[in-house]
Amino acid sequence: MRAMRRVRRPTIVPDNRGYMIAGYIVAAALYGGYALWLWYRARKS
Amino acid sequence: MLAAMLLLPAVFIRALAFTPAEATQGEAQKIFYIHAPSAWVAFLAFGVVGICSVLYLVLKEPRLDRLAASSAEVGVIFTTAVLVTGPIWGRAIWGAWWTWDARLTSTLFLWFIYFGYQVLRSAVHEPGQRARFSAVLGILGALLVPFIHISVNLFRTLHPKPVVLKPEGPTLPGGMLATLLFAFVAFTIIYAAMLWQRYSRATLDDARDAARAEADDRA
Repeated sequence: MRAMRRVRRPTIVPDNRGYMIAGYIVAAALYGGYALWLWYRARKS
Repeated sequence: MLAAMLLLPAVFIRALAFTPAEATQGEAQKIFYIHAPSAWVAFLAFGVVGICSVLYLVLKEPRLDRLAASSAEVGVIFTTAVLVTGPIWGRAIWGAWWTWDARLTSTLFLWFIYFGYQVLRSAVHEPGQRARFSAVLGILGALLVPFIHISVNLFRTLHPKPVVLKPEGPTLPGGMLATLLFAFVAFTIIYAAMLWQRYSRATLDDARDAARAEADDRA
């Protein structure tokens, strides 16, 4: 009788690095842009 | 302000280089470390708007109106970040940029309310009237915040339930939780710095407008 063996399947991790990079670029642009705008307005006034 | 803004790359480096990727979602899950703290700060900012608006209606103190207006503007920036990073993460994990579920839709409505708040302030020129109208709108918008937080429990939504702010405690692994808490603190400090900068400018703008009005009266 063949022994039952539990086969551990490897976890397939999706390749979605591009989305991660896009998210971080957008956040950096938004926060950095707003901070620059505040700094520019403070200098102007 | 500059010192506070240096915390942003610090959060990015910690999240991207020193925090493990989630086993099933992959690296897109790391958007979590900017998405969730942005949402927290947006709620905090609109909470400040609500409190300052109530106090303004009672005390009629112009500084409270300025603080509410400043916090609302910063809050719109953070909500915009939530509404942009969320769909990028959603596209990677759900396969859809957007879904009209309760959490996403109510957050979009929150953004509309406070965008409208900015439009209202620029449309009304009489300072007392502008402060009164915007205080009422600011309070109504802030009432949406607790509803958005519990919306994932009230409705069947695609959006995940909270992993930190829940009765049985956080369920994140240690490394991920440390990064998230660091991001929460860093984003809160960035909010405080932006708020202070914006409030200082509003104070100068109001003083300039008052001087102009006085000069016009004399002429």
